[in-house]
Amino acid sequence: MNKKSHAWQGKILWVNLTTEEISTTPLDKELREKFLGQAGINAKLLYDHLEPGIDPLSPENHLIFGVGPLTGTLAPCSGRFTVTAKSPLTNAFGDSNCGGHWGPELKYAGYDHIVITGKSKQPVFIWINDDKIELRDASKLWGKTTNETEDQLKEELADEKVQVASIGPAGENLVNFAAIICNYSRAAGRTGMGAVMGSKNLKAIAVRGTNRLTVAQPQEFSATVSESEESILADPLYEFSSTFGTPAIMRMAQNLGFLPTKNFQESTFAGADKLSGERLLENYVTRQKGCFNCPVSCNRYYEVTEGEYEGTTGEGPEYENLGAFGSKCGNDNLPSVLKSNDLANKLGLDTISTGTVIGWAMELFQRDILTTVDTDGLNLEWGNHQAIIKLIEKIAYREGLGDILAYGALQASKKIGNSAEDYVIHIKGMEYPSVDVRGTKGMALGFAVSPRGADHLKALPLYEVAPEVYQKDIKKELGIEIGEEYWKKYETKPELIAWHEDWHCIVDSLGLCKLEGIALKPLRPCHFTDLLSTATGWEITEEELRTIGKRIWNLERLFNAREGFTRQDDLPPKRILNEPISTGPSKGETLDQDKFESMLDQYYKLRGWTAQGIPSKEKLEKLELEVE
Amino acid sequence: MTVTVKYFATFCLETNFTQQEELTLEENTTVIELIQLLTDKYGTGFEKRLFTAEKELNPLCWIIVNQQRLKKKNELNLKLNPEDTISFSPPMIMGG
Ligand code: SF4
Repeated sequence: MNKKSHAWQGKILWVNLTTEEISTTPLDKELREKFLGQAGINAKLLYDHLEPGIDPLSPENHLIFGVGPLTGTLAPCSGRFTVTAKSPLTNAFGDSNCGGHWGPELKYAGYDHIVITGKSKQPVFIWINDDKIELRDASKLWGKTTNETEDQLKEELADEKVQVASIGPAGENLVNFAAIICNYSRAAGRTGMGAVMGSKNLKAIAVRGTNRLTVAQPQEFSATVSESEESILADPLYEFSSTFGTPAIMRMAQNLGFLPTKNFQESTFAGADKLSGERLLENYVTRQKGCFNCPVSCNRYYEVTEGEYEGTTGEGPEYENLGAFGSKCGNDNLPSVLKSNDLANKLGLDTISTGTVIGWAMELFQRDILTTVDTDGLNLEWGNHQAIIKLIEKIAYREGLGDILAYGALQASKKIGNSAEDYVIHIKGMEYPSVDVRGTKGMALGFAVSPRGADHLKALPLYEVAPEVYQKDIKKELGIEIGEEYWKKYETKPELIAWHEDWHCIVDSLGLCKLEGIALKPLRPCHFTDLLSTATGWEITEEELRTIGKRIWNLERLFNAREGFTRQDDLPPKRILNEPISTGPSKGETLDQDKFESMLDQYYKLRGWTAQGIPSKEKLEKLELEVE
Repeated sequence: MTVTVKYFATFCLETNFTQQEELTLEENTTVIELIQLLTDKYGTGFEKRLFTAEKELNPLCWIIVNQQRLKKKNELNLKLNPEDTISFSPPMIMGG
């Protein structure tokens, strides 16, 4: 690799909010070669600099923002950045990936990573204007929603082009699943990175960048970019993802019988058709919206023009938001889901955890574990959308029951007691996304072993239920023959999941969007190596690149091992392991504990981990991961 | 006889956002005859989604009769029964 860091800017910005010291260090060649960028280098910085066992909401936690070598380049879908810290929701490794335009702006300002430590005495925001960095008073912004913050900062800084990543009241109030929001609706949502930001009295990071970004081989890079774009545009599912985005999954999940309903008590929802991506497009979408340099533009603006929620406008929602505020809560009122989604973005909440926590509270209400005495009079019966909206506010402002739910379902269950924990659908303390994994064994494994808890995005085998779509790739890459109803099978899932995890570590470290990468498949490993090589001048093979993915994956696992996490923390909750799916076309489907554990054994073996799920010394040596 | 027909995602673009409908068909109507009826009703765009230029079944469009995928062209001669559910969909994906 060239010493000169084409594509990377070659700089880490360090901000200590306690001492107000600001400095920069070079981004080492070794760090780039071994961890690539964005999620990978973030993970390495966190591992190296964080004292194990610290309270995630203490000044000792490190909040790290990172972009990848392809972020902000002409490569398609290259608007991503990652935020990393120890998670207050799980006490494990936390990170969250975000699209929009903030990441490229940071790159143009001249930085690849920002490491924020300490705690400011009063609310501040960081103003990064190329190489001029300031800590500015944010007292007037404290209490504001994320959209108000973004608007006011653009006004104060007198520049419409300023990009803002901010927290809302939820982050200020240390809600354990608070998000960081940019461009009004793009969220670094999961694992509570917004709470870590709030704990540091940091309201926002505003960025404006005007530096050049160079690539090593401009002509070759441009040709690879064109090829990648053509591959995206020629993908047979381009129209699907561009027109509907993820909300079209709603009716598919229903049809397959994998749609979590009423806190996973059921797996089909009578109201699914009313919540569908098709209904959304027909009645509420006003126009498309895309992240930086994305030919897909899978996001949408929406507006509700009549009824109880008339006047609601917003952006999104994703399938996960429809599931979280919809079927998981037994709610088929789509306008109320749109309202909930918008409210969560403005207040700075992770929509998945918020909706799932509310669904869980509704089940406690159904079982009389919570009554109106505990809910401040709120009737938490299934589908009560007014109550859902009220609870979203109460969580963000930590009022009444909201103050308890703000800890996340697992931590809240310990405060509520009375068997409340039995109904928490989580792994490592993070709430499940909207997939009933009893039907999809690969996803069950992927959710379980993700370092950040129940998580669909680290592995994201979207085609597990339609494997013939990538059959050729899977055969070529893994030698796996895919048979009928592949999703029901336990066999070969460890290989499938490990392959997805490794490559998604790469996508998340390059700065690309995984939806158009491995997940929906138009971009393949060959595109990643070509884009990286021509952008940086670093000749790298697919095998070498995948090894970097493995290294990052093992490092995140090591972080958790150091914090005391073991095999026990990779097990799905009671309901998922012990109860069969109770309704719909997948009725009777179970995640058998013995078979799951045997799948876990095989996965650990494949990964070179011990039976307790700890990376072995030999594996670490092979991956050149030096740890004490 | 009455059957239920479901349209998913891109197929809804052809049906003007009808997601699902009950259709009354003559006894012994086959799937290919149903496709013809739907093409008459919604236009040739409907049929175009289902077949390649070579008139083969498009592997990226799913035709499902009561949870059973029809993967070969000759399977379209399947006779429908009362209360069958027929779905037209792009490949289903989960999670995201
Ligand atoms: S595919 Fe969607 S989420 Fe990904 S970069 Fe494009 S607009 Fe953003």
